[in-house]
Amino acid sequence: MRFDRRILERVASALTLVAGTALLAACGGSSSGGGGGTTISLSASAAAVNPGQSTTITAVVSDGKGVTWSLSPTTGLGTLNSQTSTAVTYTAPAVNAAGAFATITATSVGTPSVSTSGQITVQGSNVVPLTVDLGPVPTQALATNLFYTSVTLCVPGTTTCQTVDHIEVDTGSQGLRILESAIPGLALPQLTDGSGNLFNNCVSFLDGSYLWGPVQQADVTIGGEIAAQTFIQVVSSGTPTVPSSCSSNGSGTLENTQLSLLANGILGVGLEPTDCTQAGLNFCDGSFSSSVPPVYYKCPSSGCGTSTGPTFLDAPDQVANPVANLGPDGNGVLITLPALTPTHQSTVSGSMILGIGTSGRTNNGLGTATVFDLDSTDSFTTTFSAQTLTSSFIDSGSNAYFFPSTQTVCAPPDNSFYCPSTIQHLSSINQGFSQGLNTVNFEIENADTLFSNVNDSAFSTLGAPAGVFNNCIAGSGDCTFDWGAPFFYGKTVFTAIDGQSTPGGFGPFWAY
Amino acid sequence: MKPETQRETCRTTRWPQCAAVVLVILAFSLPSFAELGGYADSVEVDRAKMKASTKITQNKSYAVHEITTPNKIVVREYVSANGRVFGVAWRGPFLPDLSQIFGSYFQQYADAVKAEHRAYSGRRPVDIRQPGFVVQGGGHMLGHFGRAYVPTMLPEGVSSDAIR
Repeated sequence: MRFDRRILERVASALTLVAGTALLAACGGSSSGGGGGTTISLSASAAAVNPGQSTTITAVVSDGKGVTWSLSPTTGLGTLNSQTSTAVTYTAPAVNAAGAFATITATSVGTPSVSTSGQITVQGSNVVPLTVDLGPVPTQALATNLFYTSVTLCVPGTTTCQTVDHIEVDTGSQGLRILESAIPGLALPQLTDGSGNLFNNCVSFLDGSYLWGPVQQADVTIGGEIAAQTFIQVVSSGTPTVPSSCSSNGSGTLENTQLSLLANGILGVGLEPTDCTQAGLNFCDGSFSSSVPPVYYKCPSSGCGTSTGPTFLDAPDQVANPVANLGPDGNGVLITLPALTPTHQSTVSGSMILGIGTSGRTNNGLGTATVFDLDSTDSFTTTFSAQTLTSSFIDSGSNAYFFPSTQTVCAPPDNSFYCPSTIQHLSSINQGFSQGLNTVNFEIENADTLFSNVNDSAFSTLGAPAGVFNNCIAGSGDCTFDWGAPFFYGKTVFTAIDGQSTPGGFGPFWAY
Repeated sequence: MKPETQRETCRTTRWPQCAAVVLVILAFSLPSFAELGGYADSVEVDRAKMKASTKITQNKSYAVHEITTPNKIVVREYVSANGRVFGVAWRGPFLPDLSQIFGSYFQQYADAVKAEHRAYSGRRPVDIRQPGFVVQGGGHMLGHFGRAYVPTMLPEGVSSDAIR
């Protein structure tokens, strides 16, 4: 294994702690009522279960006299079995559509006024509908090859929720990022340092665009599954004061509107468990180096200053890949979309399925897919047109195939795309770090012609230049073949999360 | 630490495949970025932040100073014979400090990206070519790459392709 086991163990133990906390926190603490100080603490073997699965809840009572157990809801959401005075098994229904919480209460035998409760996440359907369409503001701007879904955000442990559509599914990033303007009136808990300072999160790109806003916590429902108590980024509306290391010294553009983002948010379901980890290393928690990346910032409630510098943040508090918080289905996702005939469509429907070969599921196995493991930058090698492109990747958040070639570039204003005069039938060979080798045949068509179909949003033959042809040396920017959204049409593409176990080996890997 | 040198005789005059290559590895304790258009020997030193290694590769017409930051960002600065930084390339999990490495060209970069900014319709690479400044690059979260150069500062016979 290439990653540092020490880092993963620390993350894993923290997640276990969160699971335990979730179980305890459902009804506000470890004991309630009087009774001379009797306390009960609960733990669960699994904080989330798939349909038909079981988890064992154990109680430790300070008076040694054990507990009795009860379940809420009393019917319709699983059963309690094998009850003893210190343990019980909860079994989820064999069939369950929507994610829900089961509350298990332990009542002290010796002091019946004392009880404590915890919640188990009972997962439902792992199928998440995807739609490719013109986006949330089609009268203002047209989306191209963006995969949209809906998510529901709830104040943790409550039914105060809001469902938001047109969330972009991005396999090239991690974290749920939601426009503040898309969740008006939903007051999510804010991550603080315990001294009144709030944590903010930053993502920035070379083109000057950036996302900025507070780290908050939500129960996030994707499809029929709940990522409980998940840290997300809320992208601030208006014109907040942003540290210059995030805003490119004030010259960048904060993408905090439906028009600038062409979405109400981004659901990053990429290869890593947080937005600051790679190949088993966490750059943002201080474990890797003493240098603080421009990702997390801690500021008083009055806001940040332009000169505020970034800070470290422990892994469990970082903006999470929500998939990693699903429990049994938390090892990755697959995305499946139909091939496009013709190669441009007004809308396309497909699915993201949660989990890779996970227990209790029959719809997410690897099947005949080839696994491509990755190097320490989460890249594999694409050989195309005699170039060995060693920093290649698959990314649903890129809206074309981006690669260096001798293809004709369109005239302005589309000169960021390729415009061959006839359809190009091209071929590449992809090779993983130590496993995975196959040939990919793909087509490129004239982008100007494709875009003349103004009511279409999906294009499976869209190609674009990136990097100088035949100029790749190790570690240079000319070594990238970006298999963007067109790659997904007509395929099933798996993304396995770093450090998670799957039937095809440990993540991170791509498979298709 | 004594620098280790290695010299190979050049048997052809075709650039850039051949040059008298002198590979010098120095362990600087004060690594730094020289800014685009600036001079390699008058750098902005950021001693508190960076204790990175620096590797210098000498070609016939220019030298490449390669700096790796503690957070695995690799920055290569292309320095002409008269010590001028005519190009810079980078890759890493985060963007480098662009205001530092672009130096006096930062405002031109900022104005250009603002002018070219269009509605986000998926991440796309940057390719801005102005007569006095070129910046290109792209990537995704935790995987950034790019380069920038001043076309008029390219040494004689040196292609911009060399900046990578």
